[in-house]
Amino acid sequence: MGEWTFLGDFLEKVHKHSTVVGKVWLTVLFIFRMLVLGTAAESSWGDEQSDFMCDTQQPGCENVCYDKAFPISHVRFWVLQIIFVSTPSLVYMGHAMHTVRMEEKRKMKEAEMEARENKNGGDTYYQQKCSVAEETKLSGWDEAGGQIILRGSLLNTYVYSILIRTAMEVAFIVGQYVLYGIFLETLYVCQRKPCPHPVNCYVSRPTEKNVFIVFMLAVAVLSLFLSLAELYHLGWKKAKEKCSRSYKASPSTAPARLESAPQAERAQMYTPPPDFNQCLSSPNGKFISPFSNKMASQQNTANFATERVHGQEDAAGEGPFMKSSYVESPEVASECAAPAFPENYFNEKRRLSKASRASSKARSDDLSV
Amino acid sequence: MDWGTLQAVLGGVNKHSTSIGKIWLTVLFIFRIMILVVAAERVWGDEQQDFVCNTLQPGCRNVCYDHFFPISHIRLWALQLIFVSTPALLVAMHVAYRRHEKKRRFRNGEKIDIEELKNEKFHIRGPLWWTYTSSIFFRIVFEAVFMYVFYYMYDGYQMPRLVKCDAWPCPNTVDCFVSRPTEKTTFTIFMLAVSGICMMLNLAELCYLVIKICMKESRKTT
Repeated sequence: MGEWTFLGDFLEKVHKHSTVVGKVWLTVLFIFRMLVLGTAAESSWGDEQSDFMCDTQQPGCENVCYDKAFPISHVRFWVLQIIFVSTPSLVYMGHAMHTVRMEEKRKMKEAEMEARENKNGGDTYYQQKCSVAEETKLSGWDEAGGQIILRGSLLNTYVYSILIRTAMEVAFIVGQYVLYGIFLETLYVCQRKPCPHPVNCYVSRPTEKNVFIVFMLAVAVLSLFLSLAELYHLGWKKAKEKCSRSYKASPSTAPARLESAPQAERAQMYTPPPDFNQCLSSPNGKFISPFSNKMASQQNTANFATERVHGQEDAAGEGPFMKSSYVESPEVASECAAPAFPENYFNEKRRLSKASRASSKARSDDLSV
Repeated sequence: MDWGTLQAVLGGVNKHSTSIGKIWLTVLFIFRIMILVVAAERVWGDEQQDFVCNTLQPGCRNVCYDHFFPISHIRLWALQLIFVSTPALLVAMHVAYRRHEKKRRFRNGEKIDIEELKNEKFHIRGPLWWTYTSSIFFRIVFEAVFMYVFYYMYDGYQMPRLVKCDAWPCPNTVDCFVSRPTEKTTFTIFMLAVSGICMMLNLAELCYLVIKICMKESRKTT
């Protein structure tokens, strides 16, 4: 286990800045994979070649048959698996440390500016404090706790690292199955030069090896499950946040937008919802994604188009207008969020314009996240 | 092999490195030293024991093994890692010299904060820039040299399964079989790939430092 200290030290740091599920995953990695591999599995595979016996006297036959049976030993395969599965966490750690360093630099600059301001006069102090608070939120560093909060680009890195980790895990599990299947057979029949004919070769300690193979496979599947659970946990939280934010901001938002929010790419979870009303109400226009401007113009175009079309048929009342629109374009009725609603419902909810009522159907291409 | 000492020394240099330098150090420790110690040493552990020759002639096996493996891959990699890490010691020595100078000035009466002196991070500027850049340059040279040595000594990067040997005292051309050739080839290619990555990182760091200094100079003149 002493040989694993290089990786162990790095992963200790990652442990501090992970989510709860991430910490469980790291513990599983340390105890059930590294420790078991280092102590038990290594000694079980220690004599794998010396006790690989072939029923032949032909010199070199055993060597080539062992090489054919085990292109890469299980133990080395698992070592590579552990290293490749841990690597994404190191990338996340690098990003986190970079964030910490940027934060420290910012604090130093802040302190310098403060000192300068105190000499000159305290005019711009409060302005700086406010912008600093904004930047803190974006960077994801909690000054009070000294902990890294998963936010913004750091959250994206974390999610990417889990995705890559999951992919690596799957790749190695599939790779192990392709190379060896699940269980090791006691007997391996080998035909390769210089063996003169098919030769029986006997694997050393097959049952013990099978126990460890099944154990390591089970731990790999458990790690995979934990990674998926962490992704789900992060994705669900973000989707919930997004839904509640977008629902609070615009009650008249088409349901399609809320439905497609959880389906949005998890990596883009943090992108603010492209909601036209939110765009209007938010004071800081610079934080809104460019999608909302596009949607606003689309909505406007649609409104103008329908107003031109329906402008001439002067509605006798709101009732007949509604009926006629359903009749003329049946696909509106199917896509419309509430065709079963009573007529009066729309009359009460939306009074912007006659045309906007017709174009208030839920379009599937509205959300362009 | 005790790599802990190397880790202790290089850890100190890490504080004064650029970000790319830190990434290089991580790759060095996890993908090279750790793989060497945990995996590769086991694979090459029985290389002479299980080097089998199709002959009963005493001494033939020894001579053939020695002829085809003048220096084992493991030992070559250990040498490569030591040589590649050594230039960082130049930087460590320079930093230690600067600290010593500061301590001397403190003793001569200048006001310097002792705590700050211990934890001070030196920026890569001036003479330290030259030391740092030359250390990266030497690192790149050593990596390239060792990659070539591997290629030249073993005729490429693949481990052959069968080697034909007719060195004395073998009576005729004798078939000798190498132990675990596929696994050895896998690890040789892996270590080669990681060396390549380390070399790319060093080149990137060198370019970054040179461009930074050029931009600074141009800003000063304009």
